[in-house]
Amino acid sequence: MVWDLLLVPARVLHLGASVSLAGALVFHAAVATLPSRRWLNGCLLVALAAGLLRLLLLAVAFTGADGPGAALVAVPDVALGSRIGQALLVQSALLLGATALAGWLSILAALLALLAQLAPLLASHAAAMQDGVLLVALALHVLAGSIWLGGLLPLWQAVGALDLAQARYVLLRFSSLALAMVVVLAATALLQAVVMSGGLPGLLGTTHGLLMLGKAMLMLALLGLAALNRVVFLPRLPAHRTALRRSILAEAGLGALVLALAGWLASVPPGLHEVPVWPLPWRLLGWGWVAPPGWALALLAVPLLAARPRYLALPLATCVLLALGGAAWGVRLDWVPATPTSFQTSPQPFTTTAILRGEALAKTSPGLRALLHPTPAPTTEGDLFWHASLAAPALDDAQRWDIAQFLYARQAGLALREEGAWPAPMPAPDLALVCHHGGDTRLSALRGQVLRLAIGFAPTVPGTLSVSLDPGSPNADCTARDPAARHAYALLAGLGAEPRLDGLWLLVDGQGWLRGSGFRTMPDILEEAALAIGATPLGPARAHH
Amino acid sequence: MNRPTGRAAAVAMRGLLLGGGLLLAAGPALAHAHLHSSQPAADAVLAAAPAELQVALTEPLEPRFSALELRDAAGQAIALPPPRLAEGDTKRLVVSLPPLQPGRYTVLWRVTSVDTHRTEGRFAFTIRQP
Repeated sequence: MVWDLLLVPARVLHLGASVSLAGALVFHAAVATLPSRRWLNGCLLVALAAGLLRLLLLAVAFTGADGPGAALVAVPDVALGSRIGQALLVQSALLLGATALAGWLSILAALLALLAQLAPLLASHAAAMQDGVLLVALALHVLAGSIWLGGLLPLWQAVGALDLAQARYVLLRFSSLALAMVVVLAATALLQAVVMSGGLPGLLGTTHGLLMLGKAMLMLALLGLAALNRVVFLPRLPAHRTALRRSILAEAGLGALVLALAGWLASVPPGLHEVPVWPLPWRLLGWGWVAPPGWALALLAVPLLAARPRYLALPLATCVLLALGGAAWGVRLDWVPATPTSFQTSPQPFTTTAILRGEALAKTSPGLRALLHPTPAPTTEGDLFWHASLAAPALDDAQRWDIAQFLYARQAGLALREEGAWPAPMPAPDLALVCHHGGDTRLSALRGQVLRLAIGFAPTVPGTLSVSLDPGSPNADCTARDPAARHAYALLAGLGAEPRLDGLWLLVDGQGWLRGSGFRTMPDILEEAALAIGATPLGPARAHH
Repeated sequence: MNRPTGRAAAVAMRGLLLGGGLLLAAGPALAHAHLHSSQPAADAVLAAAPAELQVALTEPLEPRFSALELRDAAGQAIALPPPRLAEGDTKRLVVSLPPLQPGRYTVLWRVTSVDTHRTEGRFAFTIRQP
């Protein structure tokens, strides 16, 4: 859609103009002279026009209008009936008011212009995620960016127009203000990256993550130029006035690029919500181990670095801390081969029927049968999807995910049999059930209670809901509808080839994770295991993209 | 001249270390889940026709720019009133259903979330013969 493609440039133009206007008004209120009225009016006109263009493009996007006439008719509906429309109207009104007050009530004008920057945040990713901390961080980020980047062109203008003493004063004052804004920008950018990027896979494998990295690189270049101005050019005024102005102009140019990326970034879904395409041929085994020592390092870093940092020793200390943290959590640092889909999970639910469909498909070609041989390197569900895609390109995505889910379940079962534990948290495959008290339901609908799945012999265990995988079994709270579900769970227990499964049991915790499996275990041991998993939750339920 | 440079380097070093630590601590990416739940549930087999259809998503919605469609087994669209937000829940769309005959039905949802992103999907449910 051509109209959709125009949304990002329109947003960038709108952001650039409104930031320039707010920055100019703050510059006047906090630093020096008012930029020319022509500049202010120009920024306002571009901001209003870009805001109107955004409304028009959003009307096309929201209503599917097939021409400019239909889109124009839909504009009032979008402006008044959507959060983004209302935000754009409020923002325009605030910018108009701010420009009208400029040069008269400068502080109020600056405050109104800054407030205008916050209005669109009501329709931001952070608002949609309903994360108050993230929303505050984003608001601070936008305000700090507006003050710093929006003040660069007025600074360039002032340094050219003022005498030496005034120019030096203005530069020092703006520099102090900018330094405070940089600290706010860095801290709030970091928080947003942590919450919204989706970790390293999201950072390296999604458009949002790459834009974040690009923006960070540009910010570093901007900081370099700012340091150059402060440390090299400023002490050498007036001789270096021209060079300083060129450098500020370059800074403003880089700032415009940062704003362009910021506008683009705000238009794409966060990496956390996207399917990451891993760009590297290898990955570090198990990212999860990094989290506890990573947080510890981050927490330790604050007081450590607040004291006198020893630059050469710190990277070394970081490595030592990470190594110690890894060792403490009993994890090895292994690089293993990766595929573009390593960090992807199936978009379809993990069910017994999907596993069984995958098993049937996996027997249909020699290439797929070859995947049944376990590989020495650990593989994720996403890796198995990639291998299935290479082995059977004619199958559709859903079929390849079925094969991946079958292979993943089988691989986990084999690991359980050989090593006594599943290699990664395994969700219990969903299945259709009939319950004595609730009628037709699904296993996933029973979340919140500990489930005891059994084949054949099913002892009573207090505190658990019994689910028999034998259809029609009279001794269980719920029974499976499909007898084939027995085989899917046998695969997960590492007993896929066993002819007799009577006595197999599996425990599922309240979040839907498989937590234990055994064969003809005494009821008191089962009760103990059920109590233990109730007391130590594994984490939130698995989600699907 | 060295002092400001040294201070800037110190700030940069602190930022890099802190940022690196936090990013590593962010952990793996989670897959997104646009459709959180529905009533009737996906692939449910119902003994009686439901009076209304509810679709819960993971983000607050713009109800005026979101739509629910219901199709019978033959693919024919069944006329529905415009969906509304459930009371006190900006993430849940509700629509009243006309009396439905036994059979398989497909729900198509197309929603606009408050951050202007549009997503769509479908699921099915079945009403059993009495």
